[in-house]
Amino acid sequence: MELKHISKSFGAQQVLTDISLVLEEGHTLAVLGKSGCGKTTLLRIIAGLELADNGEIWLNGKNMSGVAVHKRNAVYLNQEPLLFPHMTASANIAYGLEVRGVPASDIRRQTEQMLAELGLEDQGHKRPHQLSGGQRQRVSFGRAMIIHPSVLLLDEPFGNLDPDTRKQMQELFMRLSTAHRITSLLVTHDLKEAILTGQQTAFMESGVLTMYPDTGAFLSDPRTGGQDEMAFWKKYNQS
Amino acid sequence: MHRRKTYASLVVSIILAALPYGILPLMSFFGRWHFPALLPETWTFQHWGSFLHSQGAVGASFLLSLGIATCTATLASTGGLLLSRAVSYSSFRQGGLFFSLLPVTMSPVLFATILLFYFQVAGLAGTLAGVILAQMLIALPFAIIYFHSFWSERILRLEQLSATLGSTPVHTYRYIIWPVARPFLLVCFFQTFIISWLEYGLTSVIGTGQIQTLTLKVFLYIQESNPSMAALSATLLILPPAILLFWNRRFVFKEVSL
Repeated sequence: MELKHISKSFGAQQVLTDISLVLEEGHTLAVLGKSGCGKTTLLRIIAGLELADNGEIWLNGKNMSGVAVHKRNAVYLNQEPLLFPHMTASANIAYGLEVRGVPASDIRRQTEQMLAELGLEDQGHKRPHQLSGGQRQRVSFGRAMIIHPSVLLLDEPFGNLDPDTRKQMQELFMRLSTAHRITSLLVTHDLKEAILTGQQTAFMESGVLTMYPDTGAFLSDPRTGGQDEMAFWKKYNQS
Repeated sequence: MHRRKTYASLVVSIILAALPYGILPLMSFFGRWHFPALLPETWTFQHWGSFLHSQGAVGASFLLSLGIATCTATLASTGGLLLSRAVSYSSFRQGGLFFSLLPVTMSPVLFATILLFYFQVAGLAGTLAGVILAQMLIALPFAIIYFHSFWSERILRLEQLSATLGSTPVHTYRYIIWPVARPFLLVCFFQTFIISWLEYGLTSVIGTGQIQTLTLKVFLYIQESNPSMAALSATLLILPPAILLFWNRRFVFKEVSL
């Protein structure tokens, strides 16, 4: 995925300023930033849910300008695991395959395989309200990953989970995205989550994106809070 | 003591609500009945016989009303769902809702009198299509306002999610929005059916006396001092809403949520 000079403003307020980045296939770019820095707007523009004022989005070598949302193959997931309430967990996972006209036998096989990968073999028949928050999040990931999206856009996906579930979900996400070679852009306000999940890291502030060559450079930037975090643990260990 | 009072109030309320379902059918069997007798002198199946066998005036009006109400409720519910979406997600949301409320705030007879000229010019006065269109002017705004609460931020996000998963807008409507909206649609259908079924003012003015719905027939029999036929018509009038209410009771009486 490549973004070239993306800008966006709402009225007089500039939300994104000249954002450019290259995300390698199968990699996860973790973008750290505070609330209101423009992360969500950036993801929505990539998904086609918002229009950029300027710039281009390239997915798999194709310019996405003017391409309808349903033809982009860019899945957008936000904090809440939004499942279709009238469908079972299996039907939710199978949804993207069904809209692509995949034969029923293939859908069944792939769905069962995905449920097993998610650790939800015996939960496929349940409706969303019968699942826990973590299970719903798993189904949400499975539903997105089963269609092998060009890019998976994750808007603080673990923000609503308790620490244990959050850790499990981070591990599951890393395992699945590696196994399926999913290209992802994950935005978070959690420093550790950004370091854990991203092969590439970036920081966003007031609509301006800074990319880093490696994790060391990311942590060295005082704006990310990495230095403060390390200083805290150093001081804590000494005491 | 307090509990006994509550229980008594409940029993009285139930009896009062159920009274029309007992008295009206009973009155439809009244034969000769002269003042000051407390009860009729004769009882007869004649009125029901003429309705059931020859499909006379009441039978025709019953079927006509059923057709008009079903058509109006179907159009208002489906049209209301789509138009309400346009109003709810537009920047003209408040204005759209205000204009939707306007026809409901006006007296139906006054509204119909104003509209009659245009219906006559369009050749719709006194026609079935004209009456359905006239009733839609009340039922559709109701449906738009009713569905306004359905089109929440959550539904918008479901639509967007479906789109990012590769679904076309038509597919999203068919497989996501329609099933999710189903309980809302059923309640709206029920309510708009009742609006149409019991509508008098617009139907009598725009129908110009040529479209004789069951509601109009009840008033006609009352004016003719024919209590048995009025009771028979009224019995038929309360029957379909009661059946619909029974079928949809789990949606009508429970709070519909997603």
